[in-house]
Amino acid sequence: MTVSSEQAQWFAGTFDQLVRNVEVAVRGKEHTVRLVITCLLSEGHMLLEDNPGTGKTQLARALANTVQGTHSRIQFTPDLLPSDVTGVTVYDQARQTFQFHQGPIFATIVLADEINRASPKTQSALLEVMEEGRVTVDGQPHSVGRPFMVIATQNPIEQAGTYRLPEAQLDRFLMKTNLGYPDHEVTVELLLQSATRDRSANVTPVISANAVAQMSTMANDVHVDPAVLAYISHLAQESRRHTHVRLGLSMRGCLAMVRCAKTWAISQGRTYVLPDDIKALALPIMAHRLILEPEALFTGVSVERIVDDLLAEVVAPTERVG
Amino acid sequence: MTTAATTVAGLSAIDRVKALAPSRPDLIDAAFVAGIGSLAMLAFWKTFDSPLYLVAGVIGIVLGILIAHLANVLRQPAIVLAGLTVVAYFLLGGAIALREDSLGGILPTPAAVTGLSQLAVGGWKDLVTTLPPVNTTGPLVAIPYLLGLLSGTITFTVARRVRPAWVPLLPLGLLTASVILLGTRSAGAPIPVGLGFAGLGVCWLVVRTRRRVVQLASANRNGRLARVGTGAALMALAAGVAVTGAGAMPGAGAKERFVLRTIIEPPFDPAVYASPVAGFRRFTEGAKTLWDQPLLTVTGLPEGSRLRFATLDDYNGTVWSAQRPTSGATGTGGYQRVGSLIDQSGKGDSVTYAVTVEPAYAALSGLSPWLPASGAVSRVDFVGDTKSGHLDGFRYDLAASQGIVPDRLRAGDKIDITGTRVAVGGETLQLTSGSLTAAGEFLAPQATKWSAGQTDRSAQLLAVAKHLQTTGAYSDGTAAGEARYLPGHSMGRLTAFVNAKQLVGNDEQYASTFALIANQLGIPARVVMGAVVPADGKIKGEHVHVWVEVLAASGSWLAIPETRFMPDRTKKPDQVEDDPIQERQAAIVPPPQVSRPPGSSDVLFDTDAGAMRSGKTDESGFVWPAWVMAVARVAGIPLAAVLAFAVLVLGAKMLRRRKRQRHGSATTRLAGGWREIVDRAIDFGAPVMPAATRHEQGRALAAFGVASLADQADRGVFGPGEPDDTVVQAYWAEVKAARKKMGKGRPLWRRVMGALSLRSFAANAPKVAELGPTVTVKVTQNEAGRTARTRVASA
Repeated sequence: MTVSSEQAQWFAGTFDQLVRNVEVAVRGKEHTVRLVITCLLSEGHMLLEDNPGTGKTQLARALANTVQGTHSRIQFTPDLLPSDVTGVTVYDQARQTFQFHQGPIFATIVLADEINRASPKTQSALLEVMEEGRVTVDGQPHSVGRPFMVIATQNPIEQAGTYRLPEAQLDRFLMKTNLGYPDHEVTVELLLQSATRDRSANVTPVISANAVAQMSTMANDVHVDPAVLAYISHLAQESRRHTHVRLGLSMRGCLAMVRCAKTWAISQGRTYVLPDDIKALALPIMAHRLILEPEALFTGVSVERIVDDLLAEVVAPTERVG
Repeated sequence: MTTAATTVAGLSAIDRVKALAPSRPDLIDAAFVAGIGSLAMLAFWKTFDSPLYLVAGVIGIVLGILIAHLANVLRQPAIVLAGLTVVAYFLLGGAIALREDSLGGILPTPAAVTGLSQLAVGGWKDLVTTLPPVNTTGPLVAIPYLLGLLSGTITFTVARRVRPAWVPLLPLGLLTASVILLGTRSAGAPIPVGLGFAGLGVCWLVVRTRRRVVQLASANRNGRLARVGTGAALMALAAGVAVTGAGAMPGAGAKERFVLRTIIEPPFDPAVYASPVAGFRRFTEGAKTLWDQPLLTVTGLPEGSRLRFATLDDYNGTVWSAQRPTSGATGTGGYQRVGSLIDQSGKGDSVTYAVTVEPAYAALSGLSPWLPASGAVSRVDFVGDTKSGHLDGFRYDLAASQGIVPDRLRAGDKIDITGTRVAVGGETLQLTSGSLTAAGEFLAPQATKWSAGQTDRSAQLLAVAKHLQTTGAYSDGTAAGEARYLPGHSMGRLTAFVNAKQLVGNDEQYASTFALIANQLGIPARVVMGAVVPADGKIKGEHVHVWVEVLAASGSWLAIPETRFMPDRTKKPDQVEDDPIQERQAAIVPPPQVSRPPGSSDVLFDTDAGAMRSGKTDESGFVWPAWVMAVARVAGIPLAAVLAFAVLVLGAKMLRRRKRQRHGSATTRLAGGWREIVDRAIDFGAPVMPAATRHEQGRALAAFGVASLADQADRGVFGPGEPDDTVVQAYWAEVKAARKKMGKGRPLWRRVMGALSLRSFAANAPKVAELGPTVTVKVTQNEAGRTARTRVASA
């Protein structure tokens, strides 16, 4: 079953509304905001990596406030324990039973701030919930509900006292992007409103959690031609063969590409995916999944350049397969 | 793009001129191209008779470099570069090679353009079939000019556009090889050419390589020592290999090297010309045609000198004719093209004389192609309007000492000749042994009988001559009662001649018989038709004779005058009974016969093929207007080439468009429609975007107003379901309208260039990246355990 044009138009309108709402808190970053919302509607998780003070937390909180649902924030520190994230079972003397007390992970939008400060043990506690949407404590699975999204932030500058995210965990993030500093006009505008301590507090919910789940379902029905799938496959193969790449795009990465491309396509009112959608999403989806050779890192080759190379090298399809 | 265009357009005239100024690498590369190219031209040293050819070659190289530089600076594609080269060839080619046809000796005329076109196509073969040294004032000097122009253009273009340092040496190596192959068997200036090419080539390689090498600050003395050491070791190794392997190189031991002229035979075949001896009766008194007609006027030759018209050294059983080069028994190279000068050193004292052609000689198709000369010619100068044509086609057989003017001598032609005189054999002859023809076997009994008693071949020959002279009688077959004595010298006629009760005939039969018997006796002998120069130098039919020449031990030809083997013309045959039938037929003078190559049945009854070949009569009787022919001659070949190219390109594009519109599924046709738009834009100069999506292409071509067409095609191709035919047809209608619109507003020449452009074909060529699924990766591990990935593309 494919999505109809009318549904696609409604989806695009709603999507724009969400973007505008988030932009109340995060000004001048429409592309990044669109990516984050795409990630949300694709039922994935987002990793924001940027310098301090670029608005990562603001973006995450604005998105959480946009969706009518629960949201929580976990400030990751080296002494944070896994049970601090997932929750803990406590003995209830009155009822004489063990009672599970949900941790902050049980929310619609979870902001995992400075995730690379936590110990690997705590980071790995996120693995199951990010992949399967549930937490298992004392052998009892507890679902976190739908929609569920983790927005993690990390600081690329400070390395002392941090634990680099393992590749397996990086792969579980649907996208990784950055915000960058605002341009001159936006900077002046924000300075003028310096009295406002928390801009995300101005963001009000415009969509229910249920509607978000419906939009995700709708995006899943977007048509993807086999030629476009073949294009994704070629990109993945080429990334694995690239001279400077030690680890290329995983199968999970390819699936992420298809999911995101569907949402990206319908967010523009289309009922079908174009190779252009793949190109637009290639960097945020591939960048954190490609592990470069040490020689490439020493010679200053960046992942962005590798992705550009791949896009320039692999010819986009113009016809259907066969 | 717009900014760049504005920037270029905004340049002042001075800035534009400054932009054309060459950079330092430009000048260095140009100097090496000119230097190595000029050295390569030295290999023509023995091919041409003066160093003027070198000037032509260097002019070509320098011109080529200038053109290539201009095209590089102006970022012009290869097709423009090719066009400029062609224009340069025709612009200066006339002044260099065809001054007589050029206006004021400089500006090209239609005749010069025609000539240069023919030279560019057929001049190569003419050069290798012309006996060196070739005249530098003749048209063939266009070959070094053209070689220089092409090599200069290609090499400099490659040098400035291709990164690898060694690539530009390839066209220069090709030039050197071409010059050597087109040159002479003995090497011309081999040491300067070889050493110069190697030395300058290595220097150029070093210069070009160092442009790309980044000097490391850490390079220390040890590093330099290691480099010098390694370099010296490599040089020593190369020298060792060269010294030991030189002997094994092809042609190393041969005195004469392999050149094209050793395998390309001159296409000229003298046998196509009618044998003039067969028509000898015309010159006799009884025929009353040429007996008293002036044929030639000779000045500078003493009375009694013999002037050869034609030397005929091959007998095929029908006629005596000139030998074909392939069957040369005397080691002759056949008739080869020569210039004014012919190397005849060591062939005796030279005399200078002049021969003027009279109308009667020019009218004889059997004689007019033959150059009348006394002995071996060392210099020939044609005087008059026809000079250029005669000299261009003039051929000479060194062994036969005979010249041929293929475009035939005309009435009034004057020829200044320097050369030896015909040597006349004495009472005893020092002869060489051999035979020019074996066709005289039927005269073997006579040879044995008439030379009876003699053991020395010279004596045998003289005995045969004496027998012929003493027992024979003279008759032209034209006098009353002598009609039975037929003309001709075929096997049948000569058999009848020698078996008759009395030998009766004229020069034709006596000379033919005598020459055949001489060959039968093992003495190379040939038949020569010519004249004995009278006191006043005016040669008429009465002075024309046929004599025999034999090859002396010294290698020169000795004439045995007809007076030595023929009875006097006054000695009439004995009276015999008349044969009325033969008498009637004998009154008819047969036309000269032509020796035919085996299998050439097309002209079995053609008695004068040479004359026929020069004829221009159209069988239908229709004659094209002269101006049409003139225009066709001048512009015919280039126009036809351009027209053929245009038809080919337009046809290919039309087929491509038709295939895209009609073949394949609906989505394929939709995609083809957009490809048509992209190709049109590429042909108009839009950049090729090989990995771009259709949407990106549409945005890039937004100036053409076609972005929506890209989106339409995307919707059809990548959307769900198969679009129906009406959608495809409507889309193609829009595509066609858009294509027309894309051309509107552009100048006509841009539209024409766009229509004929080949860029879109190049852009559609398959690329390796498109072979994604079939590219495999070969994974290997090196000693350090590192993994190396190598791409292996398969079909």
